[in-house]
Amino acid sequence: MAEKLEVWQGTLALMVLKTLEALGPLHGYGIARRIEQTSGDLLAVNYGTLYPALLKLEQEGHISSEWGQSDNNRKAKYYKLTRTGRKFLDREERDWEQTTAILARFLAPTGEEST
Amino acid sequence: MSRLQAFLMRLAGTFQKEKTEYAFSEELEGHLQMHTDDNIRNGMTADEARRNALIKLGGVEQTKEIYHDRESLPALDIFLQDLRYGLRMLRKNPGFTAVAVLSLALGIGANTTIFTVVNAILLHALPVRDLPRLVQMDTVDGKTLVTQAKAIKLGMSVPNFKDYRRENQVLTDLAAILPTPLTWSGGAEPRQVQGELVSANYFDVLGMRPALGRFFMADEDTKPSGNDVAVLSYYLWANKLGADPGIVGKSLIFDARPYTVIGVAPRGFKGTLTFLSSEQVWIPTSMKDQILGGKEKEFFDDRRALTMLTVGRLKPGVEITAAEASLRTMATHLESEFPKDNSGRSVALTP
Repeated sequence: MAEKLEVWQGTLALMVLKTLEALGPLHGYGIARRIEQTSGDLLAVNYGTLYPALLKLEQEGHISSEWGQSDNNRKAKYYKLTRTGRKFLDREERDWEQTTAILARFLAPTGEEST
Repeated sequence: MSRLQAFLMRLAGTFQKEKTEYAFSEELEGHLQMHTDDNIRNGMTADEARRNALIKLGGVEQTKEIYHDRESLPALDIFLQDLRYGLRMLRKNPGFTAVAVLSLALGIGANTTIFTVVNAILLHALPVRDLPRLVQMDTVDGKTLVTQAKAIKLGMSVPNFKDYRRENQVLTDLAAILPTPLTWSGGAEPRQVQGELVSANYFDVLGMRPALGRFFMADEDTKPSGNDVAVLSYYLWANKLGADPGIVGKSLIFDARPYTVIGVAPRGFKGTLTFLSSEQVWIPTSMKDQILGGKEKEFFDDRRALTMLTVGRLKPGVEITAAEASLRTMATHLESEFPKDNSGRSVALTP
């Protein structure tokens, strides 16, 4: 596979929320690295695109932020999931699973169609 | 709900740009430092590490820009920028600003004026003979505050009206009108209608033919309290009296006094003041004591009290400017004759 996949529209938010759910409060850089690692380096995350997504989630009340110190004493803004964010994540996750399940049925080879 | 919240926050963000921009610069700087630290730990040189972090970020300024677009409402933001720019330019060029504002004011003013005239002449065209020869005559007062308020259409007092009517050389005739509300009883319940006390020559000056019956005769305004006749507007007759073809000769009660209906005005005639109701009654001025009350009655014959509106018809071949000049000469005579009442007063004609 020569090229890495772009992050699909709308899925970045879900990845961010899931990351925050798994790891607790985290700064932007940490979230970006985590998404990259989890995807097995298949996704090319332009780190810059992460911040508008974080801002949007914060404006919508799904995450909140506060300033703190990183492990090696760098100033960083830490994001964490809010209660409405948690609920939102649950709902999004269910929707996403349903969507992929439906798609999977179309993509799975069936007896009649396979030659 | 969360969308509304986001919208409000972006709206707020539009107005506190500097604060949030600074905060984001710091956040980005932190991000780059952490990334650089990690890269160095992985064996890069300091320069290389920093460059790699920048590349992975996708450019500081680009990121800031996308971030800012999300932070505020770009459309509103751009609009505010334009607005600020516009105001700055206007302040820089006061001359240009003055010209622009004046042009706008004049344009709007002229438009309004033209519409008023068009409205009066075309939309409410009076069904009268030779409309351009009709003029409204008003008192102009150079001494009192009213003039300074540019209220030049001041009407006319009854004694002055009589003098102008009798002695002028430029008008075929001059009629006087005094709008007043009337109580019409005798129907199911009393109702108010728009009335006008008019000199008997009113319909002649306007040059109209009645739709039914006749108009006032020349001497029908001379005998005080003795001319209890009325002309109805077409609309009053059609809307409130069922267009009764035998209305002429019948009696209607206005302000508790019976008046004999002598005629109905033509369709389309809504009175001299187009902003009043089109359902009207005309009664000769000689009935003033029965119709008017209070101050209007008290001052009716006062030379200083501008109670009447006057409408005249220019004599053939007389231009309005010449007529006005002639009437102004008369006004100076009247001023010296009645210095107390007519002090500072002259007249003006309006087509």
